[in-house]
Formats: sequence, C-alpha cells, structure tokens
Amino acid sequence: MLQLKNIFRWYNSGANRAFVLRDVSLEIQKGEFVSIMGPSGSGKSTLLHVLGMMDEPNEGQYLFLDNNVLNIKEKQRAELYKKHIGFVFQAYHLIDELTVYENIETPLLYHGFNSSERKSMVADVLDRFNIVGKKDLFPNQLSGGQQQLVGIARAVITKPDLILADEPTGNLNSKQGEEIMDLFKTLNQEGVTIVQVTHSEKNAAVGSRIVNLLDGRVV
Amino acid sequence: MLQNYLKIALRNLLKNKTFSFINIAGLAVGLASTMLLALWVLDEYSFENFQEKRDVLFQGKRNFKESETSIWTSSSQSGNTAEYIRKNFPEVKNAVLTDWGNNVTISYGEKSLKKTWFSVETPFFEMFTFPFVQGSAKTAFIDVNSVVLTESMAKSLFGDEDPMNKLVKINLKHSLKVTGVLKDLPKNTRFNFDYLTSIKFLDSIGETYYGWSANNFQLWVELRPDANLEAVNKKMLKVYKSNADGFSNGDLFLYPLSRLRLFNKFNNGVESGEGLNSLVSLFSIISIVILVIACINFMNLSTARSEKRAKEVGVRKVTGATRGSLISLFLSESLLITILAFGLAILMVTLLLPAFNDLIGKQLTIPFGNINYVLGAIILVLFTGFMSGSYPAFFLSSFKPIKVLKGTMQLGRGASLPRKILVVIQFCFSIVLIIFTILVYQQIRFGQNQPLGYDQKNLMYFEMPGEMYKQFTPMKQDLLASGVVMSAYSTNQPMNATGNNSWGYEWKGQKPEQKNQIFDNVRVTLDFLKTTGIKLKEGRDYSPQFMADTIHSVLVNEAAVKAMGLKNPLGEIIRRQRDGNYTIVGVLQDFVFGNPFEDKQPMMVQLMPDSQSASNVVLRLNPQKSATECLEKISTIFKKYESVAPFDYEFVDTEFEKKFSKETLLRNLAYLFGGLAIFVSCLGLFGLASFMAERRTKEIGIRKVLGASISGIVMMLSKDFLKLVGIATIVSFPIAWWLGNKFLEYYPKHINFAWWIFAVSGIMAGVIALLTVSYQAIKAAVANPVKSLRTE
Ligand SMILES: Nc1ncnc2c1ncn2[C@@H]1O[C@H](COP(=O)(O)OP(=O)(O)OP(=O)(O)O)[C@@H](O)[C@H]1O
Ligand SMILES: [Mg+2]
Repeated sequence: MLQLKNIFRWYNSGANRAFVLRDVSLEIQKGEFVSIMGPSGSGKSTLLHVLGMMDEPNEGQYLFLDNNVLNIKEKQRAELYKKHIGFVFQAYHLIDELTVYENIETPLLYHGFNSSERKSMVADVLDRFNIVGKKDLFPNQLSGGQQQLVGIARAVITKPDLILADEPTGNLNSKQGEEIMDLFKTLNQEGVTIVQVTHSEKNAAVGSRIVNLLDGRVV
Repeated sequence: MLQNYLKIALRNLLKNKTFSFINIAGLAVGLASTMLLALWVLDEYSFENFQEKRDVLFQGKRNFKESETSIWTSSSQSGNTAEYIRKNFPEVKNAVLTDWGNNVTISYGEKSLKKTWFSVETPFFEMFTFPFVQGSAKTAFIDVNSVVLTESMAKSLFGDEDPMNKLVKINLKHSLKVTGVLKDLPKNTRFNFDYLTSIKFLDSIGETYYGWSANNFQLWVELRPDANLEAVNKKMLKVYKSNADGFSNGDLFLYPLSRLRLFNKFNNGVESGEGLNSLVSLFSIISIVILVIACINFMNLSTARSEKRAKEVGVRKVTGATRGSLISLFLSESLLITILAFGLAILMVTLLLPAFNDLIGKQLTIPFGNINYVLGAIILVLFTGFMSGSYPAFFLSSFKPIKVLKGTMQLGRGASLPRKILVVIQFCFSIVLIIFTILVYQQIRFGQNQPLGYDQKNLMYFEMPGEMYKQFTPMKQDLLASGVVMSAYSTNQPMNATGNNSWGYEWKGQKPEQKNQIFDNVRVTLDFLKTTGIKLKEGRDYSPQFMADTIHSVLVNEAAVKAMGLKNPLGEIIRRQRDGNYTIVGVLQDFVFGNPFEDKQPMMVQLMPDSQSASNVVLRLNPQKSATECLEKISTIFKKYESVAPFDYEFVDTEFEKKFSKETLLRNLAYLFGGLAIFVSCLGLFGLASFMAERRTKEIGIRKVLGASISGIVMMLSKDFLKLVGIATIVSFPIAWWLGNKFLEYYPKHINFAWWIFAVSGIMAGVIALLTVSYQAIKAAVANPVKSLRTE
C-alpha cells in the first residue's frame, strides 16, 4: 500500500540540524495493522504526520498506492489524502461548536456528498458506534472515551483505506481503551489498513506488526 | 454546504456575544452612515435629471474682467441677449429670458399669500419639463395679463374651486387671469416658483429694462443636439462685444444646466471645483471611511480570536477541507454578520432620517421600491462583507493543521502587527475628523464674531407690499410715535443683503482697467446711519439740509475708497455716463452686509427721496420694550396702511445666522460623522481590549499573586493601546494640517491653524481610548486571582 524510502526529517536549530527522523524506510501492506512504539520524542508523531501527508520530510521518497507523494502537486496530494486516509488524534480534536452529529458529518461536506447521502451515512455510523443517543450533544458534554469514539467515527465515515491514529487511547482509562482497540480490530478485519502510535504494549499487541523507533531510527 | 456554514456562523455569533455585538453594531453604524450619505449624495446628483432636455439646456453666464487679475462670473444678462442669440445662432434651438423670482403677495378674494413669482418667455415650457395639468403652453401667455399657477399654489388659493379663468391679484395691484396649472415642481430642481407670468407682462407694467449694459435677466439656452458647445461658446464670447454701447459688458458663455447644482462656483472665470460638489465628495469619503473603520474592527477582532479558531481550522483541514472551502466558510460568516448589520442599519436609517433631514434641510425618503437602490444596497452588503471578511478568511485558512493541532503554533508579534497598523489607521481617521470638526466650528465662530460695523440687535425689517412705499412718510411718523421704534428708513433691498451692483463708473486717477470695477449699490432714505448704527469715518451723513443729496451726493465705504485709490475722498466726484455726477460727501467705516467670509466689497450708498419705490423698511426697535409689544404695535400700523397683504418681517440677527447655513451644515455633518467614526473606532478598541484581557487572565492572576498592584496591571494592559493611539496622533497631524489648510483656503477670511488644536485633539483621542480600554483593564485587574488561576 505504501512505502517510505530513506526518509530524513530535521529541524534547524541554530547552526545544527536536529534530526527527528533518520533514514527511515518502511513498507506497509494493504490490510496490515501496524503499531509504532518508542520513547517520547523519538519521532513517532512526526512519522505518522509524514505518512498522513501533513508533514514533508527533508529527504527521501514516499510512495502511496504507486503515487510519488513528494513529487506530485499539492492539490493531487490533498485529493489522495481525502480519498484514502482518516486521522485519529490523542486529543480527539472535535469542533467544539458542532454537535456530535455535525462533527461526524463534516468530512462528508468536504467529500461532496449530498444531504440525503450524508444523512444515511451519518445514521449508519452513529448506529454502528452506538452513539445515536448522543448525536445532539456537544463535545464538552461527552466523556473522553465517547469523544474518541466520535473522533474515530469521523475518521471512518468516508471509508478510508488507511487509518492513522496518534495515541488514540492516550487520554482514556483502560476500559475505554479496550473498546477503542476492539473497534480498530473490527475495522482491520473489514480490510482497513491501520497505523497506530501507542505507548501501551498491550494495545500494540492488538496489531499485526510493531515498528520500534528510537531517536528517529527504526530499530 | 452554505446551510452548514451559516449554522456554524450563527452559533459562533451567539457564543461570542461581545464580539458579535461589536461587529454588528459597528458595521450597522458604518452602513447606516454610508446609506444616509448615499441618499443625500444621490439626491444632490439627481438635480434636473427629470428634465428631458437636460443634456442640451444651458444657463447663460458672463465673465467680467474687474481688473488685470480678477474675473468675476455672473449669471445676469442683458435682456437683449435672448433675441440676438435666437437670430444669430443657428446652433440654438431656443433661448429665453427669465427674471430672478420674487416673493410677492398673490391674492384671490379674501385670501392673500406671499409666494414666489417668476416670469418667463413662452418657449420656457418647451425647454423645461414642467408639464401642464390644466391649460397648455401654447395658450397660457397669449394674453399678457395671464398667470400660471402650480398645483399646490392653486390648491392653497382656490381650494377645490376650479382656478381656470379666475382673476387673481399680484402685489395687490395687477389683476391677472389664471390660464394654466402646472404639475408641482419636483424637489430636485433649482426652480422654485409658485406662479408664472410672461416677461411680456413685466414689459407691460414697465418693470423691465432692455439695454446691452443692463444685467437684470437670466438667460436659458437650448442647443440643437448636434451643436458643439465649445464652438458655440467661442461665438458667444463676442455677443456683448459686437453690441458694445460704450461699456465693456463682459463675455457671454453657456454653462450646462446639469452642472448648476454642484459645480456652480467660479474663480477667475473658470469653474473652481469648490461648489457644493466639494462638500458632497468630502462627506462621501468620510462615510466610506466610517465603513472602513467598522470593517477594520471586524478584521481585528476576527484575527485576535484566531487562536481560538485555529483548532477548528486544523480539524477541518484534516477532515478534508480545502483552503478554498475554509475561505468560503469565513466569508459566509462575515456576510451573515453584514446582513444582520444591514438589517439593523436600515432600522437606524429609518429612525434617523427625519433628524438627518432636519440637519441637511431636505426631505429624503428611503426608496425601497427603486430597483437601482436595492441593487446598490446588495452591492454594498456584498462589498462590506467581503472587505471585512477577506483578511481574516485568508489569514485563518492559511494555518497548517499539524502546527495548530500539536499546539506549537505561535501567533507572535508577526500576527499582531497588521492588527496594530489597522488600529493606528482607525485612530488616524478619527483624529483627523476631530481636528477638522474643531476647525469648522472655529471658522463659523470667527465668521459670526466678525465686527459687523453695525448693531444687529433690535434691528428688524419688513417688506412693503404693493404701493405702500407711497405712504412711507406718514407711516414712519406713526412708527416713531408708537414708542417702540427709535428710528427707521426705507431701502431698495432687504437689509443684510447685497443684491444690486453696477459698474462703468469714472473718477479722478482711475486706471484704464478699473472701468469695470464693480460697486454694490444700496439706496436708502434718511436715517440710514442712525438706524443701523454704521459709523462715519469722515465727512457727513445725508441730511435734509442738503437738498442736492438725493441727486448729487454719495456715501462710499472704506473698501470703495481703497479700490478707487483715493487719498482724499471727500469732495471727489464719481461719474457714470447714464446717471451723472456724484460727490463723495462721507466715508463709511466698513460693515458687513453680504457674506461675512468674503473681503468687504466696494459699496456706494445713495439717498433716495421718501416717495421713491422702495421695497423694505428697516427699523431700530426700542430696547426698553419687549419684542411682542414691538411687533404688535408695528403690525397694527402696518395694517393701517395695508389691510390685505400679510405682515411679513425678519429680525436682522436671525437672518444673519442664515448666512452660515452651508457652514452650519458642514459643522453638523462633521459633528455627526466625526462622532460616529470615533464611536466605531472605540467599539473596536473595546473589543480588542476585552480579548487581550481574556487572553492574559492567567498572566494577570500570576502577577497579582506575586504582588502586582491593580493600578500597575491596568497601566500594563492600557499601555499598548495608548502607544498605538499616540502613533496615530502623530501620523494624523500632517494629514490634518494639509486638509485643514485646504479647507480654510476656501474662505478669503479665515482663522489660522492654531497649534493647540493638535494638542486638544491628541489629548481627546488619548482620553477616549483610555476610557474605552481601562474598563476592560480594570475588570481584568480586580478579578480574584485564585479564581482565574483555578480555571486554567
Ligand atoms: N516544530 C518543531 N521544531 C523543532 N523541533 C520539533 C518540532 N516539532 C517536533 N520537534 C521535535 O521532534 C522530536 C519528535 O517529536 P514527535 O512529536 O514526533 O515525538 P513523539 O515520538 O511523538 O513523542 P511523544 O511520545 O511525546 O508524543 C521531538 O524531539 C521534538 O522536540
Ligand atoms: Mg507524539
């Protein structure tokens, strides 16, 4: 599905280069469930952002479904992202001014679905995630786990092929975390490729493969 | 999509009440002032638009060379011009004379009203679009003893009776038959007559004089559509020259009717650009400035809030939003706010229009039904929405999602710089307006405080209708005997105005180019000086002892002595071909009868016998008596000599005030719009201050825990804003200096730009800004630090 070749990412701090990713090469097949682990500051989030086309490496190559991501136009890259990728955040990042329903509906607006399509798609997802009763509440009226459910619902509603999740259970208690992991497992079984960053061995084990980062290198 | 945008926009509005209020109120004030001004401006530009022939109609003007350096432009013409032009100019389709219009009594039966009487030649009706509702242009003036009324004139004279063929009396002596009724004149025309007679009628009662050196008519010309104005005007220049009868009577030229309202002001023979249009453009600019200030508020508050909205931008981008869609989101928000503001603005305009009409002396209405205005309003709303929303939209939509979501986004100095610049611009505008307002106020005061050279108080005048002047002598005796009148004289024009002037005088030591020196002419009966309080500089007043005074003597003012260049004016002789010789018997100290802002004009005051046809009586009232008692007694005496015509009087000091109508309008508009500009700017400052205070809640809490005083914190919060206002003050001074001097140059006599005006306006701006900001600063400073820290 995707392939990173010799990726470097650095920040200039004064005269020095502070390397965040050093010569990272990584291949992920369709249908895999990859967990990225490593100590704080090792570059996990950065790697995930590179995968999600939100951050550009300073050097290297990135192939996504046979597209050379770093060489194509911004617009095409945005299209590629929109079509295939869903993102889940540790801090949920829901829009505070919108209800659960509207938060989940937002990506559909940008994908150009008409209103009746949107209605049925959101209804499906609400149903599937068991949050029909919460659809008119605002984010601040939900628990962390519920908010993350909405975050994931929002990520999956456009039926992405790849879900990127940055510590999706980081702010949750273990029971809530388990629920989220179960959800990812089901999605993975349905054919969605998943890449998650996690600090928890247990959650990492849910996936099919673990990539360890240390100081910006895959070890 | 749009529905979704609007839903979010609405929620944001409700959630941030201060922000919404400031934006909506500010934009509403901006839009309302733009709309009010637009109504006024469009009304001014609509003058004579209804005239179907407006593109081929012209007024005859004439340039007089007064001296080598000065050309005086007048609209009065010799009565011979029309006939001559009709004969000699194939390019001219029609040329007519009219007189200048007078307020004269018109009566029918018991009813007697003072209304505007105007005389025209018949083709007037072909040229100007003043349609008949009864009678017709062709038949109206076949009989010279005919009068045409406007509809409302007819209504007030005849009620429901049919006015046609009834006899009315003009000036209590001329019986005329009503031969037509005109539709009421539109408001946007320079003509304001209530009834018309034919010039031929004036001829028949001997009130016209035709001669190439006369200047008693207006001339109106209709060119053929294919005529070239420039070419015609080249020929027009020669009209007076080729008919010279010893005088040089100036150069005739045609001036478009469509420019008369706004541009009719000449300097040295050419349009000066200082007509009403300058006022109109000035306030058009000011109203747009106020709107811009309101838009700046919106931009500033939106970008100040950007940190709050950054996360939303990030999330939307991550869920697939393109930059374009975010720009539309923010633009639709600003559009929504603008539409709400527009609704409020319409409400404001509706409520304020009566007061605004009072202010500018018009009767404007909101033309809801006019498609052009509706389109204009839509464009205004779109423009405003786009202008206020574009900067925030492009700014906010440029955020990079990982930066904002990781929380590493720093909106540091760079982001607040444009905001600071905008605040400086806003306050620059406001300070310039403050300075300008002070200048206008001072200039008017200056004009009002000009030494008049006579005593305005307790001075009144009234018009003598019909042939009352024949009984002036006994009436004067009655007035003096009543005890309320100290002194009185009659004159050929209203007190306090200069209407008559003439040229063609000769004197000893005259330079050749002074043949055209123009003198104001005032004709008075005895007691002119005693009544007005005008002082003699040298020589003597007119006196019954000198029998020859009425024919051979003249009083001149100081300006005349100066213009003629006389060392010892007393005894000098002034000659005029037609009139004969006058000896200067006295020199009057300069006094202001005309425009108080203009240099004093040379004037001759001539004595006429009591019995001569005079139009006005001027009275000095007894200061010991009350005004009501005076009026009562004078009115009774007036009735004794004239039972039909109404007693119509004016007090000189109130009439004098009216000379400042243009300046008062300017001042009132400056107060209003200057005030609005400052208000809207402060609204924005208030909003910014509240955001700053909110953002720094935690910092303030910590500082207080560490022992900072409340005043120290207020100072800290206010300082930044005051600095901006300080910069604005400095930047605005040269602009105000330049603008103010341009304004003052407009008046030949004007105040000087005093430095204290700058100081006062700077301090005013600072105090206003401090008051605005300190409310928020104090609120933040006195808040309980424990509380604010706990909420973090
Ligand atoms: N904008 C930036 N400028 C400079 N250095 C940065 C910037 N963003 C990230 N870094 C550095 O890159 C390194 C990797 O950051 P990253 O967020 O990828 O770590 P992480 O592995 O996700 O850590 P954590 O487990 O704490 O989330 C860190 O050392 C961080 O300081
Ligand atoms: Mg991380």
